[in-house]
Amino acid sequence: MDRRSFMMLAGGALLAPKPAFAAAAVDKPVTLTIIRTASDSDVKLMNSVMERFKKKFPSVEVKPQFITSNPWGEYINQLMNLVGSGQTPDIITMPTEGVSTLGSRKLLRNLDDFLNFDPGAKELLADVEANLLTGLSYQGAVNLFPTEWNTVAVYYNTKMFEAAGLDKPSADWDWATFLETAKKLTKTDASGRTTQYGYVVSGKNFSLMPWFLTNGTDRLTPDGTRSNVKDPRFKETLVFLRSLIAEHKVSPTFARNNAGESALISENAAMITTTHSSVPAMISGKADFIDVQVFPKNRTNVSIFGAGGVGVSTASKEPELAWELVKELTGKEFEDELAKNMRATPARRSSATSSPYSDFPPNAKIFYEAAATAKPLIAPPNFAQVEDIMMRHVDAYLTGNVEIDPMIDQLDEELSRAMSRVRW
Amino acid sequence: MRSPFMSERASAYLFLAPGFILYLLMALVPALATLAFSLTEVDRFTWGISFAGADNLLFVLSDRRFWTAFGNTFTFIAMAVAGNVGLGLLLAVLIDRQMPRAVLYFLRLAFFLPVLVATALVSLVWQLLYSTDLGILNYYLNELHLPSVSWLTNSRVAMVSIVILDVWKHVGFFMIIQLAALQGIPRSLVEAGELDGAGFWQIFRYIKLPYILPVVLFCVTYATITGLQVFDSIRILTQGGPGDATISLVMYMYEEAFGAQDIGVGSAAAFILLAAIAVTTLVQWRIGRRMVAQ
Repeated sequence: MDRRSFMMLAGGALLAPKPAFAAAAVDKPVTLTIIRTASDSDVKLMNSVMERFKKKFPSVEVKPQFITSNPWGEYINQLMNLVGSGQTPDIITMPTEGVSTLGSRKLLRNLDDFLNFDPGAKELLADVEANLLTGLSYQGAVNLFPTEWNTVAVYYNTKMFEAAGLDKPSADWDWATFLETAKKLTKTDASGRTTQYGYVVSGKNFSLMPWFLTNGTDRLTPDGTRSNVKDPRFKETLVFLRSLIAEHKVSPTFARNNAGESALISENAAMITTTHSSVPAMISGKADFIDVQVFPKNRTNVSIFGAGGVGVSTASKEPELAWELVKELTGKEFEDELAKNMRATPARRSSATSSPYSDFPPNAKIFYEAAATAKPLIAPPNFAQVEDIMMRHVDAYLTGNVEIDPMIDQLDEELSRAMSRVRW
Repeated sequence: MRSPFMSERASAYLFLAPGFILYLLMALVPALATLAFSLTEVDRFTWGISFAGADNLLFVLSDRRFWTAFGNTFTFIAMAVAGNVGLGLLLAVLIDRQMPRAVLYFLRLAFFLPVLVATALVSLVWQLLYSTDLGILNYYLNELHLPSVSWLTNSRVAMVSIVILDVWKHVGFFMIIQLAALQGIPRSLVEAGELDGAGFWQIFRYIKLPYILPVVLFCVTYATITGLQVFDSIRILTQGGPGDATISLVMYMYEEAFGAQDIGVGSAAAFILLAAIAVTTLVQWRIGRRMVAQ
């Protein structure tokens, strides 16, 4: 072990009042494996992390495995293959969508063991909104520590608002105001063809969720075990969304997986509802006319969040070292680099509320402001299946292929059948 | 002294071994594993396996979505086989004539090029073409004062849209095969027909078509088998929607195995698909043999 590594670990052991784990010996080559998502930005971020970690722990080799996360079900599948073949990584990167899948199989260590006794964790906990940890907890235990998260907001074209004589939307707007605004922003030509849409109903599951939440409902019961689609407010939400397309014609045809980013950037639509992951495309498209506002409310004004985090697997033979890597992955340098990347909101307040993250869109402060009150996405172990069932039926209704009541009956039947087969 | 016969037999096995081992590893073992999984319930994280008997099979057979996928797949096959083989034959007949070699090469390449491009890639392009509000197809329809078509969002149109893409993508392959068969017809047969006063249609109907019929039937069988496995174009264009209007058998299998994480049910669906392919191929083979004999 080199002197620096020894001092760090020994110092940590001395300072910690009640260490949950013995300090790791790094006197021989050690390999830590980690599963990460495979986007370009992920690879760059991970390379920087490995460089910094190598300086701190020269004898530790970090082996990342990058796996596509589009869709998340595919990512979880690959992880299953690794676990099933006895190659469980030491560190697992996972979003809210996979927390219960991993938690129910006891694949992750309870991070409270580290968070409570590592002095370095205090600074980390102080800089991260506590509510974000709830989205990555399973049965009360923090299984993953958040690195980034996303909420859904309304992105709008300020030029179109100005041209229509509209003020910027206020934070307390509601569905009725939203509809009136969308109507005023929709334009047609002499032949009746729409040339500018007021809004694009999102075809993405996560971006649709706030419509249900702001109407006080969700597709599953709060404990995530049963179908909740027979709730009249669920139907009311879908009828409202359908009316935006078919009756008021303020939105183009519903298209699955399309949140309307390109329509907003190319100035064919005035408003869309999406996550911060759309911002890099807006910046590269030089769409500096875009600003952002919180979701309009109906019965409530709650917003949604999904977080991505890193955790230490129960199969890791080097949990203390794995925790050190988790700290690097949640450290200030990582978060600042993530903030520059703009693909999501950094979990650290200091990174999310300062430049360059807060520079665009102008009202970017709303993102971290939502961290304290947003509700985590309800994600049972069969999340991918629930998403598929939900979106299939919503798609059929919003494209006008089925009536609302038979659709809800069938959706309820399928969801109930799927939930009855879940192994928690 | 070793017998020459034994030596020959050993050599034969030796030469067969690579192909047989590959078949064993890539086809037979996975097929048997699928059969075994269809009788079990598997937790893929822990690989805890329990015997489920016929539960998975019964689950699939009693699932409304499975039968929707079954019907959709055969609807797709009926349209895609007719389009691919029929249009492929028509194009082959049109190209099978005297023309400058450069033109012939150009036409063959033009029709065959889509075959070489990945389905996932062309599906993304077609998704843009088919877009109801911003797509090129509807733009030109509107320019002609025709109403927009909901190519991918109308449950009665979506399957046709997928077939159009499939035919555009694969017709060149079937054209090339049937063109090769047409060009293999002895010139003397055609000339004899011409001397007897037969016209273009009569020569095609009574000389060329019977001669290439085995190849046409091969194309039908091949197109049917690939049609039964249709997946990527549908997954990208419609994801089986709207609702379940375009879900195929392979999509159903994939969603159960990897969406619902239920390997047992996915395997049972895969086994039913295998049986469907076997039965369909057998029926086509028998009908084909009878037609060729006639």
